[in-house]
Amino acid sequence: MAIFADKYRKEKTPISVSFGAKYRKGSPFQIQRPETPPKTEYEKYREEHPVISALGVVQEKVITPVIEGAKETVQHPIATIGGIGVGATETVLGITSNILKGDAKLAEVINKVPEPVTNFITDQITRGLVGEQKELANVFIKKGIEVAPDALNKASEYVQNNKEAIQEIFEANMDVNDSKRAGAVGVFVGQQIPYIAASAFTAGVVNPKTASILGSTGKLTLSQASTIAKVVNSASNVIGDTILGQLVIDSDATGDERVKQLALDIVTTGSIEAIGLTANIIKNKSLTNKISGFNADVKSGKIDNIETMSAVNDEISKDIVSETGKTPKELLQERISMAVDSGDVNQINDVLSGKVDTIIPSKNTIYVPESQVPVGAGKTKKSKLATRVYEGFENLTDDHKSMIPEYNAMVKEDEMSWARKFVSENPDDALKILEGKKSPPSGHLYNSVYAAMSETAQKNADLGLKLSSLRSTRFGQEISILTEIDPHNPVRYLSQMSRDKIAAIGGKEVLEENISSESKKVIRSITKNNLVKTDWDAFINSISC
Amino acid sequence: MFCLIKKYSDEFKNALVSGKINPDELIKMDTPSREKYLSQFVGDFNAKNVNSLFESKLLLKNQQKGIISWANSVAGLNQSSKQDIIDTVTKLDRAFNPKEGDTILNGIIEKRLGVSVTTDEAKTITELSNAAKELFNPSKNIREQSREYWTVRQKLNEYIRSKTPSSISPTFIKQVGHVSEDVVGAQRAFKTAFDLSAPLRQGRAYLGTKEWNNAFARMFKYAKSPTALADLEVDMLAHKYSQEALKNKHTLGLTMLGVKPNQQEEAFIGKLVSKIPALKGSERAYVGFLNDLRFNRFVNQIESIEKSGRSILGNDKALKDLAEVIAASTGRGNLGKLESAAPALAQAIFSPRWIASRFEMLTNPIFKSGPARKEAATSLARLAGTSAAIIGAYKMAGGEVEIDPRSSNFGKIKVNSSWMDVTGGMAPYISLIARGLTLETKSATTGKLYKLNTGKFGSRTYFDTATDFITNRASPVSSIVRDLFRGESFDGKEVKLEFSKDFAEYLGDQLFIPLFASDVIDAFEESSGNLLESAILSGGSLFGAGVTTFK
Repeated sequence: MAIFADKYRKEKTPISVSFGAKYRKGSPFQIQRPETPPKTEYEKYREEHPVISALGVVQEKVITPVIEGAKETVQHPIATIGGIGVGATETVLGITSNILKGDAKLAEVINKVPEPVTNFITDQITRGLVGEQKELANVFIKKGIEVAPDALNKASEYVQNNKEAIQEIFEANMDVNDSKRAGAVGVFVGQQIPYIAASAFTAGVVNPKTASILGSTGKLTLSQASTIAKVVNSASNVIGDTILGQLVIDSDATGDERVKQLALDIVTTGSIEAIGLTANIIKNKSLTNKISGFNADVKSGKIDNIETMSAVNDEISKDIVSETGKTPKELLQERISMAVDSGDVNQINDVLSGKVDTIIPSKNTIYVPESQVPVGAGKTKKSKLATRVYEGFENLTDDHKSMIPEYNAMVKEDEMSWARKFVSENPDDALKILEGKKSPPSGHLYNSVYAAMSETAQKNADLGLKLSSLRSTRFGQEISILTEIDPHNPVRYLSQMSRDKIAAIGGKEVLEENISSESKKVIRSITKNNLVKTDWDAFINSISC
Repeated sequence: MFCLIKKYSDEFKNALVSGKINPDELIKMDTPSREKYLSQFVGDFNAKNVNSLFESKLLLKNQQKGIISWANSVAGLNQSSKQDIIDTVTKLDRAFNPKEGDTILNGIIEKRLGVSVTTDEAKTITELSNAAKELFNPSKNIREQSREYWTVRQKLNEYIRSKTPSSISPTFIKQVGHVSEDVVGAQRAFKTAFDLSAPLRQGRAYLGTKEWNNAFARMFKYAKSPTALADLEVDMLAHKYSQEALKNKHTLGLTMLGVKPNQQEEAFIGKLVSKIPALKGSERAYVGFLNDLRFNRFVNQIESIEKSGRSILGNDKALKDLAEVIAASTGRGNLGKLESAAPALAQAIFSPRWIASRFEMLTNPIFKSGPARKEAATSLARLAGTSAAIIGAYKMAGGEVEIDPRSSNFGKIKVNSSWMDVTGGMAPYISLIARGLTLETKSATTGKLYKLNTGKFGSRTYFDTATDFITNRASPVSSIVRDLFRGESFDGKEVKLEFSKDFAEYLGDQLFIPLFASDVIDAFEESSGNLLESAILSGGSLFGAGVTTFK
């Protein structure tokens, strides 16, 4: 990777890039900037924050082309990965560290975050997203902001009562896929707080299935894509983004060496945050205190601008050098190569968090789609199928026997009771799961959500109507099969009626043609501008101070 | 809470007044473009918030007004659909981007097209299915549930059927097409209405069976009360073989049962028919009798086969064949590849399914197998046997009958100057085949035999006979076209397209005088006031025995 940098230093190839002066210092690139209008606040920020800025370039030059190639087969907005990265990460870790400390009053602080800061974060999170993706993220964030105070209070209370368990998460393997512990911080808080929600959003975007499709486009190998998916699904998106960047470089995604150089720089510079924040939150008390001090400043109102947070990163960087004797770049390169070679998510986390210094070569890992992994938190059982297979061999040692896969049996009552609670508390999320727009929380089943929704719909005509409208989705079709089992399920009749009405108009295609032609009429009617002067006056008056 | 400082709000206002901000353009933009555009007037820092408020307060309002204005301009939208759209629009809590296919917008358009399930429908269906659930006894098999349970299920089925149209016309041209189908359907219903013709016409092959007797007895209840029809459906649903009947509903020609929109009886096709009060009783009698007969014959046959030790349950093909035979024997033929063109065919021909059924009835004993063949042979033999018995008895009593299949009067008995068909409408089909085999035809009035296909100038061919057979079965509307082309009506009167009393009378007769009424009037006129003869002919015509009077 460094070879590319050397090559460009020698050739001094001029290119146009859009990141700032701070990053240009010592750079081999010559900047050719056309005359530009006065800089916006955002542009200024980008100049002062080369990491974030450059990450945007990677997004534009590297990830987006990869994504574009995959888009034909992948419907999910994978392009969000690069955009979300840094902006979300420091906040996630910052907040999480405070929750860890049991700072219940942080909820109040978050609630009082000045609007410009919120806007900035929103901007960061949604940067790189386009059209519907952006809208979706915005809705998500707004929802998060709405529920954040209450959620944080609950989270803080939970943290107070479960300090040890949470500490274990960070000190053990940070595996949020463990639903019990994820419930403590990752999932429980993750769905509520906008910033963590953004991470969850990213994690939800790349599921193993999508990754395998991405892999099948030829841009990345399947194992690389699987690694991305597993990593992105882990607690820290910084790690995921870093590995992703590394893989993008390795996979020769674009064949453009200048871009590779940029990507390399991003990965290494980004590692300051990746290693620094993660490692120090766990190990370095003084850094933790600094972060606490920073938060105290936020609380007292001394700091009201998110940009100030970047100062923490510099300090962390210095501490890393003093503690390890290596620059963050060197440290990360070493660790990334170890982590990537291992292909094991838990080990990657351990390595990147500084918990272990050597990688134990892992056994061959076979990844299976998440939808095929048994769920459950009940009694641990050995796989009967695998046992029968192993018993077929002679001279089986105890070591061999210990390799028989185990799984946790699902407790049906617990699963249904979870699903009922989930549906009643998150009807919109439940509907999205059934629409196929979202995966069920890790460790839970689609069908549990359906069964609980269906149960609720028996008494709720509106919900029944919504469920019956899922006809065009795969799950809609599954619903129609499942409802056949229950002759009294109104969704069954509503779905049937909906299908019959569509058949009466001549089928789906005729319906779509008519919707398209009527849409044009509606839009014509809307774009006529039906507003009068008084409407505009009232609007301006209503938003004026 | 965000607010715009005076400097910016003034600038915004001034830009609007001076025309720097074009409201129309602002509305058309998507979110990022609008934010960028607004930043020129309210600053970068405020643009996002101003746009967000613009979208939630003003753009949403504009979109709501636009959609309501569109809904008001849509022709043919009923008041309740319009209100449903307005209610949905006023409840919107966010503006949408018109450039994108928006689910909200699609939902509203689906309401306008009439393909969405309305909130009221969902509510009623939910209530009824919950009511059914409460009455459901889980310890019992579905076939052993109480009558109360099945009554609620019938109500649910009937409600869903009543709210699910069999066709929706999204465009004006299609609406015109459907209106035309409705008009022809209603007009045909008028012609066949006011009688109880199903028993001796469609049901003739089962005359004398217990299914026919019971259906005939109940037919008068169906004519009198809609609840009797609902009770029939409850009986059908509660029957132990209801699932088999439901599975073969279409083949068996059942026009009730289940939740899917119903096929209609040929004589009462179209939405208009059910809206004409005078036709309702006749339709109920017709529909009730035939559903009663078909369903009970089907399930009784299954029962009898099961009792005999041979099983038909689970044999889908055998059940379908049996259903097909019973449907054909009761006048509902299968149009085969023309099935999808049935509505168009029904516009041109009086009753295409009936015609198909007569041919099927003759061929089913040959082509079907197993229980279906037995049923086909039995029903044909019964029809032939009872016809021969009536004709024989009438002849022995000194009456005039026609047994030469080459004559148009074949299978008929003569009452005064009128001929009454006692073969359940099968005779013309046998005549057509007989004429084809012998290449001879017998005059209905003179009794003379004529050779077909002689090659002499002006002589008739078998093709002419077959063409007459088809054109004589034209629907009332197409029969007017036929008569105009021929220049004369069926009874030889001149027909010319003109504003004259004769043509008006002809049209009235063709379009609005029911066949039953024509038969009664003709028979009475020709009977010279003989009330007994008139009563016999009228009674025959009332229950479906075709009456032809030669003047």
